[in-house]
Amino acid sequence: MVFSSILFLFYFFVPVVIIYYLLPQKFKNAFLLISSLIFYAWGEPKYIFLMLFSAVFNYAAGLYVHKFSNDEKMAKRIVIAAVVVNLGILGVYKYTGFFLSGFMRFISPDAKILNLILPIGISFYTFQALSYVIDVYRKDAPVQKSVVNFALYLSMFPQLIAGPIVRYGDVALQIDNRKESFEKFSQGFIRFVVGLSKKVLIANNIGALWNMISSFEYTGLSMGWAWLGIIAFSLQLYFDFSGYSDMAIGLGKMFGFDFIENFNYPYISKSATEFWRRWHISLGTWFREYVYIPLGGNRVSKRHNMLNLLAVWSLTGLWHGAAWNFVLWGLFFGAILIFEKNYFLEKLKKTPTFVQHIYALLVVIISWVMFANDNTANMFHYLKALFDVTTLFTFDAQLLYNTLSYGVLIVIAIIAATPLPKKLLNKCVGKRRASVVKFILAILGLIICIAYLIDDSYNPFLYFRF
Amino acid sequence: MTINETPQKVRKKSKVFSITVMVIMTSLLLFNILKRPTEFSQLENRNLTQLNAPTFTTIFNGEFMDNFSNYVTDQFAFRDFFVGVKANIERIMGKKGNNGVHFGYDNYLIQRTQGYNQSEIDDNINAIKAMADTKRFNLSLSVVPSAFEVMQDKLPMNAYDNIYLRLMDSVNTGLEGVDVNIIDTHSTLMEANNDYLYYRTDHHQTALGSYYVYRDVATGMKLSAYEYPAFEIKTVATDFYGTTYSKAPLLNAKPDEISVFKLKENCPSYSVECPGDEYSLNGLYDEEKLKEKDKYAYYLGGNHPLTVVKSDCGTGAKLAIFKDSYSHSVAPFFANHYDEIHMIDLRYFTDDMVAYLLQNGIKDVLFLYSDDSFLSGSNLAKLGSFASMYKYVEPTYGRVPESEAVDAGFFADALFIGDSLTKGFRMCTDLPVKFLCWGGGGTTQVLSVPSKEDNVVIVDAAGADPDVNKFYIMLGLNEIAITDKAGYIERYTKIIKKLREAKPECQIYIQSMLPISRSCEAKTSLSMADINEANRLLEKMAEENQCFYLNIIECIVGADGYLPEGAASDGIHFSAQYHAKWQNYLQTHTYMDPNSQIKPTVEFVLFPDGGEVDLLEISDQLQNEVKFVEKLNPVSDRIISSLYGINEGDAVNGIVLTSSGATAEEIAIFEVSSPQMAKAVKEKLYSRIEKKKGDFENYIPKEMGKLNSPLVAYGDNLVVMCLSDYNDDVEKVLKEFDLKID
Repeated sequence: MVFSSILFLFYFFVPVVIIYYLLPQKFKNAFLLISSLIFYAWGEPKYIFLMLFSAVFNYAAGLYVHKFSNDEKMAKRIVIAAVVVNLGILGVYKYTGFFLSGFMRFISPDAKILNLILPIGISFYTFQALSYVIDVYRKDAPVQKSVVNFALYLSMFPQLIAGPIVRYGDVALQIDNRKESFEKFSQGFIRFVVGLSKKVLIANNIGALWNMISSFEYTGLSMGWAWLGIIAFSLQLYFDFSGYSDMAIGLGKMFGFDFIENFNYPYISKSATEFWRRWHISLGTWFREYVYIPLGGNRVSKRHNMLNLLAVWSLTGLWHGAAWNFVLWGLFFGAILIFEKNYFLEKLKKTPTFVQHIYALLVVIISWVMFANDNTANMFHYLKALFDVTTLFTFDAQLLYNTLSYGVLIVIAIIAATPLPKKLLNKCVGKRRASVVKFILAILGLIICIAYLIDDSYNPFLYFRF
Repeated sequence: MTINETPQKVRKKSKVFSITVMVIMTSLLLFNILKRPTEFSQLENRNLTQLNAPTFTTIFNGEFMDNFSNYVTDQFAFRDFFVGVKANIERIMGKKGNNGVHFGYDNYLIQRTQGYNQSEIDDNINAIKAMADTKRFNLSLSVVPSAFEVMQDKLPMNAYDNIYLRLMDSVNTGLEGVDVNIIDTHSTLMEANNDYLYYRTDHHQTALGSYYVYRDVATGMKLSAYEYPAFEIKTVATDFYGTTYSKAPLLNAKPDEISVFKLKENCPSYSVECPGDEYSLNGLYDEEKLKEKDKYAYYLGGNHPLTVVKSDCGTGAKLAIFKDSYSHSVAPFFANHYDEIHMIDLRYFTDDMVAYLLQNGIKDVLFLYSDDSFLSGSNLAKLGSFASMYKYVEPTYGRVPESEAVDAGFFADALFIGDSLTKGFRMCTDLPVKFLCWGGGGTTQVLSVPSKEDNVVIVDAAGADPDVNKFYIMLGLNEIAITDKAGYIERYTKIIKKLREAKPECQIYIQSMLPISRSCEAKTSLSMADINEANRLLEKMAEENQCFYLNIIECIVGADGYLPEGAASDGIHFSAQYHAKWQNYLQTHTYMDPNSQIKPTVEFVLFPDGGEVDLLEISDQLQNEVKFVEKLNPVSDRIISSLYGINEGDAVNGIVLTSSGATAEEIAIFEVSSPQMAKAVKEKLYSRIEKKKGDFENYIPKEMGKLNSPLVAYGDNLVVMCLSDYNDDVEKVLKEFDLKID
């Protein structure tokens, strides 16, 4: 089930909220768990068992790690076993085809490749499960004694499908003991509508433009088209994913949870380093905590550190999808980040702010070209088109038409990707009425989203692949 | 100075907001659950998804969830309101259109013509070529530009695309040298494009636009089209919101008017029949439809596989139109020129259309399509596959070999022209033939002497006989001895030409000259050498002039090359016994025109080797156990091939049962020999379903349910598709045959 659907909004969300608030405290978690399982099973009835296995397995792993907390060796073995099993499952379901196809190509060009359907959300819940077992091992988080509560942590429907990747330590207390309130509920609802609008009104609509342009032949693509396309894709990606995180955070709030923020206006960054502090924060945090720091972090030699960074970034790339272009994309960022860290950032900071912005956006946009093309030839054709000035001044009615047609939306999206609207809202409206205005806007937003959902022609969900 | 809200106030407001939101959403949900599901959206003119009861299979494979999800979206309360909200916001946001419809100037909502598809165009061109190759019809083609081309001034800036011009370039090039009359309506429509030619809220043409199309097409077909002032124009509805409005229901949309053109003088009376659909109209228009949303169906009652428009205009002429719905407002004009107009919609008509035309004696055929449907979904390829069976076969002229004996009926339309020998034959034969013969006759007389009866030159009299279509000629005995042979052949040829002029499609049999006896040769100036020489020349002449040559001499002549001595008293005019031989020769030497037959002589066999599985057993079981609205009937291999795109070798064996076209019900069972073959066949089944969806969407939308949840199953050597409303029953039957549901 996806949030951006009539089915979820009315037939799932409404009954779940009502029953949740009617139930006494002690049943609330169990009810949320059941709801989450239904939510998951709706789209993926077969893989529910895989997720339940993961829940029980990691729950047990946690218990044992805790049990042997005085026996360092034993505990470590259990953690390693848990890591192997978790990554093993992820590997089988997500990467079999990828590795086999690379391997099989040497043996026979037309070998058949096992093709498994990627279970929804597996990349997210696997990482959450790992964080739990490791946190318990490191004694960063308490062990969870209740299997229901643990399964709830893993499968909670707001963030099950596309994050944020919640570390167990961050919500451990909330799972056992949290307080719902009307303030939180209304804040959560508003946040949800903001996310829904980002997804339904901006990402879907601008995605249709990218969908059209990405179906073109890239050889001979003109500069105008290439830029229009990549701007559309950049905006779609941001609004799709951050919209989803907003919805997740909002939903969490409505049930009393406080999830960490996942996006912080990434497109206003002034460097690639800053971009990654603002984009998919929970993933960056996860890799820092569980890969980068265990590898030695900053406290190793410069050369060692560089290798570590490249390893972390190729893994980050691979996490986004089982294809070489994602690895390339990750390595590209790795390289840029090393470059910035060791040399460039200091220089960059001395240039005017707008130069820094342009630099950062350029890096990001080039990275999205890699992200969007799993075919290397296409990737290069597209990059070439982006900077092929010779095609700039050829008149193209269709390009003009589409630019005008999507112009308003693009401008609105660009503005919405900055903190400006929020500042404006806070400034224009006296704080006395701010909440009332927000409430009215939320209801209006909801109605418009419903209208777009009912007459939808293009409602994909990008992060289903992860 | 702004004052921050106190926490108490915030809490109070939050409480009000939270409760309000939940109350609104809950009531909307309850309203949705309690309201009866709508079957049909008037606004969108399509069927809305209905809820199917879940089964274990559909839950496990997620089908039920998809169905439920579509159901709740489609059935959401105030759907029309929400669809409108979206369209209007899109417009405010500067979008140039919604759901493929452009927001044009002057309240025009213009459907974008898209999907330039060369292979589809080529299919259509090939189909028309195949029709031309039958040489049985007078073909005309007109591809009418849609509003997107003609009303291009009304389109948003830069939205125009010259797809129509590209299409027509391709059509004109593709049909170069093909015997089809391509009629242009583009220039007239472009000139008049300040007028109300297209509906603002619908993709069709108005009555006025249709009038212009009629005038051009009729003129192109050499009819004298009625001019504008000859018509009285009546507006019958002023509140028409059509298909483009449904896709983009803007607040500022202006409703359209529907009007009709009626001849002021001598207006014939009309009727409409749709055989197979049990639908008929007195007159050309269905008043009931004006009360519905799709008011365009007022013209001829909307889409039907076959619509026969009859009028008493008394010309006796018949016309067939292969068409889309653009024709519905054009055909009424043609009803003033044709007694019968047979409008065939190839999307739904699956019988042999060529046979249909031949059976109904239709020669004039018009292809009338909008550019949009010519580019997708004209289904002309279907016609092409039938037409190719009727390809004109060039008859083999010259000497006719022995053939199966025909009965006397073959000669019912025959006329014999000859001299005293033919006169003798007349006395003895029992064939029901006509004669124009006289003693001492020859080619000169046939060409110049008036007959005794009515003083008309013989050859003209022969050509004028309305009942005659075959000529048997034997001339020469009285002239070859006395005139030169070149002159003889020249005159003979002239006779043939004259007969051809009078009856272009007649068959002409040139009979050889007959032998004389040896004694006769001695007594007269005639000689066998001359006769044989003349016969050689006659055979050559027959070949060169598309006539048949009957070498009758061979059944009469003796072993020595002469007429046997006792055969004739004068050595020329033989007795009854020889006349019987002659008649027998005529009956065993005939030419059967393969083009004259309606049923194709060569049966098309798709599965020459057959299979091992009894496919009929499965189809019978399905017919017995599953409820179908109609009785389904098996179709020929030819139709299987054209419906499913299956060629020889694509499957081992197969049967297809279809309905009349009034429902989407269908059964297809194919036997296959490998998993690859099964996969390929399965894909063809799905593309058939997709195609059928396109056909039924605007035709009988309530049938869409069957197509939206088609049942396809497969096993080791079978692939089965069944379109019905009762998938559970179908599954039960197919499980007995060890088939898995796809």
